Amino acid sequence: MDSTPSKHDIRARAEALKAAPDGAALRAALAGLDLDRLGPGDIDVLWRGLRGHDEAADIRLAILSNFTLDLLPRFLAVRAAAEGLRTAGYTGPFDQHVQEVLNPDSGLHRFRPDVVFLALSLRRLRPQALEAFATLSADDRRSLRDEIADHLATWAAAALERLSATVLIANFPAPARPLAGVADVKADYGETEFFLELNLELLRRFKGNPRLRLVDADGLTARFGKERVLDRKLHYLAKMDWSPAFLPTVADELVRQIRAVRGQAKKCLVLDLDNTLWGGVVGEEGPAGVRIGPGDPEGEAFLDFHRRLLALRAQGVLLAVCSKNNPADVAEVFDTRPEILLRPSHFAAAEICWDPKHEGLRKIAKALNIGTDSLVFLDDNPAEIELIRQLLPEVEAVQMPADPAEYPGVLDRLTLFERVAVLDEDRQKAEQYQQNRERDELLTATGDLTSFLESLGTELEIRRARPDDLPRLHQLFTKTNQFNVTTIRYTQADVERFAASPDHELWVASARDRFGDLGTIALMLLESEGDALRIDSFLMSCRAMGRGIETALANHLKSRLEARGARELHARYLPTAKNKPVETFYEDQGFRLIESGESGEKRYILAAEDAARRDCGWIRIDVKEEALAA
Amino acid sequence: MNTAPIEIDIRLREIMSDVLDVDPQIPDDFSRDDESGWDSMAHLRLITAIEQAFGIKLTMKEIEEIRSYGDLRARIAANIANTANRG
Repeated sequence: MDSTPSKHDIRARAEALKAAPDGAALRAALAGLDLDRLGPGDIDVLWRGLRGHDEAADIRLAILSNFTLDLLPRFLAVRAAAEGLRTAGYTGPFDQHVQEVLNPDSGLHRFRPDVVFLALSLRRLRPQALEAFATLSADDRRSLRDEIADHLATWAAAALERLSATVLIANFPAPARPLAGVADVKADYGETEFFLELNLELLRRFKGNPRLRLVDADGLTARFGKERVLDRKLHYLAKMDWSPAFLPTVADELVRQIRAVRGQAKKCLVLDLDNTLWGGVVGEEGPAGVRIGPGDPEGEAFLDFHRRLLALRAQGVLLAVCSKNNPADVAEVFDTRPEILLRPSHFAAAEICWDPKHEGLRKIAKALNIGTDSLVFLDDNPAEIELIRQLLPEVEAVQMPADPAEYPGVLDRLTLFERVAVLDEDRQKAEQYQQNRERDELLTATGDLTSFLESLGTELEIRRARPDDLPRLHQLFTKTNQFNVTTIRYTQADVERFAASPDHELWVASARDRFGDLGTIALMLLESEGDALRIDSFLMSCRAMGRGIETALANHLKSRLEARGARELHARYLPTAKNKPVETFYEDQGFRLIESGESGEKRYILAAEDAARRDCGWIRIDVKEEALAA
Repeated sequence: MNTAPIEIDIRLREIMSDVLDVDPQIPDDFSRDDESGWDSMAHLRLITAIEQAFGIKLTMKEIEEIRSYGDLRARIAANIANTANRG
């Protein structure tokens, strides 16, 4: 058995957690600790270091269940802290998931959760039917399946209506062994078939609503080991259907869900080359000597790693390279080794030179128009990892394991790229950055900015938000940092509310040009206030910046004054660490500054008679007026 | 596994102190009636931690019967002795 951390170490970490002022300090307090190898009582000690700061929580998670899950919040709190997130937990009273939702004075409602997690034991939900399962007819089993799915769907609808939280519902783990043994797969609707269909039914029913998410508890129990999920003693003594040993696996899943719901996924994965993307050092072994490709154990492991990286790229994660090498050597490797799956065109940016890597990472972030805090950095060299941790602590620096066999697994353990759903925008993103590189080359070729903008042939569509826009709009609210005048992080429920509200106008813009589709790139939220229109939010994806689209959008907002017969536009700018690019946006668009706060916030007014449109003749604009269809 | 009685005392006090958040100077007659934090859920956390620490398995009956520090120490010692005899 590997040794568990010393009691002294755990207590010191608990003290550090207690004193931690922010997420970075929480993460630092638990850095390097393997949470799967804690000693007896360690989780309690660490948890005490986190208790009592509920008001500072990044996320409030409520747990409802008909079996005992009282120990889950502490595992969740510690696991989340290791990722730099502070959680507040609430465990509802035993077996009252319906009452908790329906009663507006329940502990659940008073807790004001951001996320609700419902996990039910089938045996306690429908005891009689489960008791008699072995003797139920195939038809009875099918009706049981539908009845249970209906119950959860009805409960979910009630929860979504009464709470603004995201609702997570666990599916039902199939038992470790079917009662009928190996014959079960030949039965007319056996236990195996029942659970597969029940869980498939839940997956399909819960897909449509962005605020409702299925948690694959069956998959989690399988990953952990179904025979170890249930500790019979604790089950009989305390109705604990999930043993404490299994709870870290559940906590890990919930942290991933939280990351996805918060929507602050990292944007770019920066990779070292030598001993990270291939085995060996090009400068020493030469392009023919590095290990990558079929027929060689290490080479196969690197190929699998490449496959996983390409899958990440297909979900919208940008890949980049930061390597200390001669560019000519690296080019030769790619040219002469076609078996390498990752090709230079897959990288959105590359820094191949002998400069220190923190400079390389800064240049990559700049080239991609993202913050360094959106980067994850992988390197086999501990010195490089340490350098980045010290000089760019906002970058998540991940040390590659000693053996390339473990490389593909490194990506499995990262929760930093989790997102609620992979949208079309995400799938196209890597391509879009490739197109941006081509656009930059065009600018260099034409030399003159106006003729460059003309030559892009930008087409902009501005429309009222449609139901199918809402997930992307929520994503824009949560992810846009730079071109974001107020940086209010609205939830999915807020977005739905704005879209349906007669006092709000939620506008969306998508763009394309001769190089390709940029997708949905901007949103504007207006609120009608008496005879004025207030710009609540105005934000645009960074990949659309620098071509006058923002001016076209501001023109559109000015035109809303006339359309609604309003007298003036009100706007404000709220400074953040990231939104410097829009600090003078409203001044540039002709708004009058009426107030400047000490912390940098600014208020503006634009009277209807002063609302002159600004020129952006190089953009073809198509405004679709129709309101949100029911 | 170190099983001298004094070792059991040292480890058991450490675990109880960690799990129940009490002072490690635990007297022999420290009982569930004295400590409100030693409720049924805490009792199971304590048992789980003890089973992990000493590599033993307590039965449900034993778990229900344990009321005090002295009970716990006696159960652990008996279990370790049994395991050693069987081994």
